[in-house]
Amino acid sequence: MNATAQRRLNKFPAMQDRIASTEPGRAWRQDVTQGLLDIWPIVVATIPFGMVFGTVASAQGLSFTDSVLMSALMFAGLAQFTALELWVHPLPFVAIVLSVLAVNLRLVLYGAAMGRRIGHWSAPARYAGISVITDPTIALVELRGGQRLSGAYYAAVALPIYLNWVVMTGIGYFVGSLIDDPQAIGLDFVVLAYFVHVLLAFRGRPGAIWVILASAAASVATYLAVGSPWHFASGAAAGIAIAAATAKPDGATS
Amino acid sequence: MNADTMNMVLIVLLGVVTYGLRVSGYLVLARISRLNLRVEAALDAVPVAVITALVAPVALVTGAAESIAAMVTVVAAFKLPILPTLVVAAVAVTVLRAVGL
Repeated sequence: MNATAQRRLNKFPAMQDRIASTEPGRAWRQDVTQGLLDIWPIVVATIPFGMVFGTVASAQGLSFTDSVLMSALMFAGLAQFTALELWVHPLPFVAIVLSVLAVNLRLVLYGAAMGRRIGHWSAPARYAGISVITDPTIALVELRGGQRLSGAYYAAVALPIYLNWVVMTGIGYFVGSLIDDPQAIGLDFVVLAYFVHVLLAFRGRPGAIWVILASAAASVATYLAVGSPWHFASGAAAGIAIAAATAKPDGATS
Repeated sequence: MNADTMNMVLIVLLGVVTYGLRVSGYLVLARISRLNLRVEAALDAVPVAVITALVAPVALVTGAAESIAAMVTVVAAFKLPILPTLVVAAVAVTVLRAVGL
């Protein structure tokens, strides 16, 4: 085991068993089961949002193929809704592309963070895997992935949520949304609650509380002063800046 | 180009842009064989920092119903497994919105 891997283990003593058991020979079934257990609540919670996206896309004059293709190629709910809001002909290409860039800027960080854990995958698997990284999946990758992310675990979390998004877009396009307003039954909050639950799972990490406080402060300040979607980038930048600034070698707590 | 073609062109462009973002962070870091300590720490913090940034405005400055429900959710998340936490969150925010907070 190299020095980097050892350092990571020192930082997450609770995960040592899990990482050790990720050595070759480990049953992939166990990884798939764990992945499905971790992802299914957010898959269920995002069903209505996929359908609403399909419905809104239809209302904006997109064809069925366009709508499903958009979900399949982008797989980025917030950015897709943002783009649709601006979808009037003649299409404002520049405004739409810039909006999508702003909302999706965080994906650069996800690709970078995930990239560290998949060096043992084949190149096609790496590029395919990174193509579907998103908010809930990066959290699970960082939480459970260890030094060498199990391809079986990643497939079990990434495929259901991806296929769900694409299929629900298609269904929503035709039947309309069964739930017109996900907010009315608190579904927007179910997504938030899933993220809160995931955040709490990170609480044992040294310095996590400072990352949370810095990110929350910067995000809220930017949200109030500048508006959405810039609070994603500023909150993320503040949080990771604190983490970098307070980094200490070899498991020392901050 | 007609409207249908324009739609398709823009959708493919947005797909390329989004994939480009996902893969660019990986490509930059893949060139560096040994990450320094601060870069490692920054990347370790990515999910916590970004998810906090996503939820903080909803939890703190959207409305009284959302803020109270967020506090209830945090308490529930400490005490309960994921599924009951989600149910508590949905019920809390629905009730609080219904009473006009």
